[in-house]
Amino acid sequence: MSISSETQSRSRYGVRAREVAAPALLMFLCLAVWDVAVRLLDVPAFVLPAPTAILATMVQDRALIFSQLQITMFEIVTGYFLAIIVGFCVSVAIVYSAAFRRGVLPLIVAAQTIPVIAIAPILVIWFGYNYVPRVIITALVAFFPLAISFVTGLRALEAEWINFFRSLNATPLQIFFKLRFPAALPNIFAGLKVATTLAVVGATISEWVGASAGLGYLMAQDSAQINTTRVFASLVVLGSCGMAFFAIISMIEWLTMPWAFGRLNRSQWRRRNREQASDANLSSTATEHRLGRAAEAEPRDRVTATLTRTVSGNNGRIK
Amino acid sequence: MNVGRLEISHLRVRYSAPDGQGLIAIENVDLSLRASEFAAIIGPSGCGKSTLLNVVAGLLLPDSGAVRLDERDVVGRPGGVAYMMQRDLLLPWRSVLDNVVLGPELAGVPQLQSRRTARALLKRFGLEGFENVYPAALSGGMRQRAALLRTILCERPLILLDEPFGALDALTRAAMSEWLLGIQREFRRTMILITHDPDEAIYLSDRVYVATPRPMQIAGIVDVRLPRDRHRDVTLTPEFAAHKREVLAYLQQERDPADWSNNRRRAGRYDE
Amino acid sequence: MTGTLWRRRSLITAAIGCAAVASLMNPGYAQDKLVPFKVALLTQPGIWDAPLFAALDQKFFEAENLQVSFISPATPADGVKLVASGGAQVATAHSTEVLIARSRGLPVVSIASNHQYGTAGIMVPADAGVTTLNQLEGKTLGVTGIPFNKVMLEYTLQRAGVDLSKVNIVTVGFTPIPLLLSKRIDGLGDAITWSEPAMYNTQISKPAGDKSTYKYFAFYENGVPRYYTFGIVADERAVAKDPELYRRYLRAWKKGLEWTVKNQKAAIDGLRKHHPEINEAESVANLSEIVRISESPETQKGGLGWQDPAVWAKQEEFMREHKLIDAKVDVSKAVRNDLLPKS
Repeated sequence: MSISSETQSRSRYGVRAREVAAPALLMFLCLAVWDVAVRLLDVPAFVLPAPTAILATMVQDRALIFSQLQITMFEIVTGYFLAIIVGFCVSVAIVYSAAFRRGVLPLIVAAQTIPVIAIAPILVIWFGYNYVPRVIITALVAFFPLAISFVTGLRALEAEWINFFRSLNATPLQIFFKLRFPAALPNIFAGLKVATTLAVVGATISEWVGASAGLGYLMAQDSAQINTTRVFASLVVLGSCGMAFFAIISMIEWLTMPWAFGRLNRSQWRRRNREQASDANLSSTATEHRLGRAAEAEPRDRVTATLTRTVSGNNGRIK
Repeated sequence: MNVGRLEISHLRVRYSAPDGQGLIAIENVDLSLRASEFAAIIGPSGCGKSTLLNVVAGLLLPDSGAVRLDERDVVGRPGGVAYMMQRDLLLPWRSVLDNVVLGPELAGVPQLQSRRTARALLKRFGLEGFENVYPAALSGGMRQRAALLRTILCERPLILLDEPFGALDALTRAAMSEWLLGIQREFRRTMILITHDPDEAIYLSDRVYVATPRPMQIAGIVDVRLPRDRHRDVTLTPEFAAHKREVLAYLQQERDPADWSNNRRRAGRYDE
Repeated sequence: MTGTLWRRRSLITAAIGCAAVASLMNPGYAQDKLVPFKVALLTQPGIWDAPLFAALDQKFFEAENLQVSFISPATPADGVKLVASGGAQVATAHSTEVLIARSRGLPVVSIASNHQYGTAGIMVPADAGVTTLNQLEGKTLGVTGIPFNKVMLEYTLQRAGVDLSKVNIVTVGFTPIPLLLSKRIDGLGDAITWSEPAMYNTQISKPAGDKSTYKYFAFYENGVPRYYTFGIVADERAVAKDPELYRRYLRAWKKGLEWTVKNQKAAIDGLRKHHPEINEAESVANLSEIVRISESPETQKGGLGWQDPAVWAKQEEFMREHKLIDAKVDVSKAVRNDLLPKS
């Protein structure tokens, strides 16, 4: 890891490119090995299709796959947001009400052990034959890790912070919005990221029981028709969507929590403060130490200078 | 009129320990401060000094006794004093400027004015140019100064300081206490400082209260008769050494409690 | 004293030794002579597997030196995949699956068929007042999701002049009865005569065999080409290697089917000993229907399990026309009757 700021900023894009290139290259190699192996060992397509065949199917049936994807994406996103809302409400209740925590939390945990496939037909009976049961199933699958991370985050605060806010006569609402919630953000985002992939899985599963369209439904149909190649193609598309969803949430996290990612100040990406530029390198602790020392040196001089000025102006006495 | 006159009389604080037993943290403490005075409390670790500050801040209810700030009873009523705790407790997700205006913000004071005031004071507190910086980028000394600026901006007549320089190295601490004295003189707040360092206690304060181990009582009170405008060199004067000897004597006495009640009677209270 | 002890010990050892040798020589206990034979059922065991369990319990498999074990695939389409990948020796699959599999290059062949007719069709509760297919316009029909069934349903409706855009066909999976009872759907788009009707009757507390509670339109009676269901499917390469093994299996299987036809009550009891969760009253009604469709004019001549390649050819054409398979499938390779026991 480079230490000096100049090398860091120059190779910042270089480092990024290197970070992306290595796993991409590895994946490409794996795909190549897979393709060659399938052809050499004469593996039939219904057992394991070759990557080139999967790609060809993806291109050839792109209209079908894309149209079904839109339907599934709607379920994923709607279910995800439903999970966030319910998860947030439940976690606030758990943190602020001991009665709720003792009574309801064990039930929530127990409910998670019920396989979703078993609930799906019941939900169709209750809510009718439309997207509602599927959105609910997606939300059910994504909800649990969300709620647990929210609770962990909201509880993670040490007592002294609360005491400090109380000493300032803060209201409970102020304590929540200005203290608990921002402090919980790292955990909240962890839960949000985990839930993205679960929402994708949940939506796909929900389409196996009671759907006439969507990528999960297409996969089930293709499986029944031994069109394994298109099943894999749908899987690749779904996987890519999951990754994209995850990346979007990570990006939001990066934008929302600049302090957690080593960014110095809020205007850093707009305009660099000349004074901090030479010291502004938090990627290595040595530099951080140096920054502390350097910053310390300056103000101390300033303080002493102010004192000296005051002192000299008052014949050696501090007023 | 809020000038920061503090009267603590016959304070007794008990709290329940995890094993269910009630522990007496503070037993019969009296303390009295005039406006703009600086008192230091020195004592061994864990003797209840922070508990005392918590009671004055209104965060803890005492068993018995009274705490009056400017003739008003502040027991159980937080918000009357500005409390700087041992850890700087700067919110990591706020910039320095946003952190220091926290007091007025929570009190509902219009932000524009308080931010303007804060910006003007940044230079005095050695934080010029760092208003948009996150606390993680500051050194220990800068963080303490930011926390102190936050405390000052709370605009409370009485400020409680719980070992503010404990985490700093000796050199920084010396400079910081010199600077703190300047701040206290300039802003004319009443301050109570908790410290382990006799030098710091005597240098900064008008009166040093020496505390006993738990249950906390005042083992002795040392009136600091040093000039109001003190230079750093005052620590080398014989008067300073005499005060220090007195303080150390009280501190030693906890091992021999026979004499300390006499010293308490000698200390007496301020009449007004 | 020591002498008597020694003599007793040696006597006991000799006795054990003789018993061991004797057990090894007994053909009934000779484990190495029984050939392991994995049979993939259609899905979870049901009344339609009664002949197989009968063959197991009546030791018909054992008599052919076959150690049969049953596998339950996750979905009905998985059986042919298991056979083609060597996970099972035979699977239970309809002629539809075999044709689709062969069109995708799976080397599977149907060597017999349990049922002579596929009786999937539309089932509507009697109180809906539907007597003709045209009255289905404006109604919601739930289907399992099996592609072939949906094609048959749409073909049947269109052939009767029904406007497909006015019929709401929704995929409900394999538990449609609760939806039917709660009126979420008006009828089943691909029920089967020996399954859903009895289940429905049980739920509305009517005798399982009561035919007056619903109206049924079987596809094969409404223009859809006939097809075979519950066929016995094997890997053609394995059959070429050891045809006698499969002949043995079919001999035992046929005995099991014949026994079941003659002893329906006992067959149900035997099956329910293995799987008590299977409903008895429904089983009686279903089995009598299954037995009915296991026989046909062809089986009178060719014996139970015989399949007509001409029927297969017509189905292959139908599936190609409706885009269920892309390329022409050689029917002569997809079905064979020569492994059936001579009746």
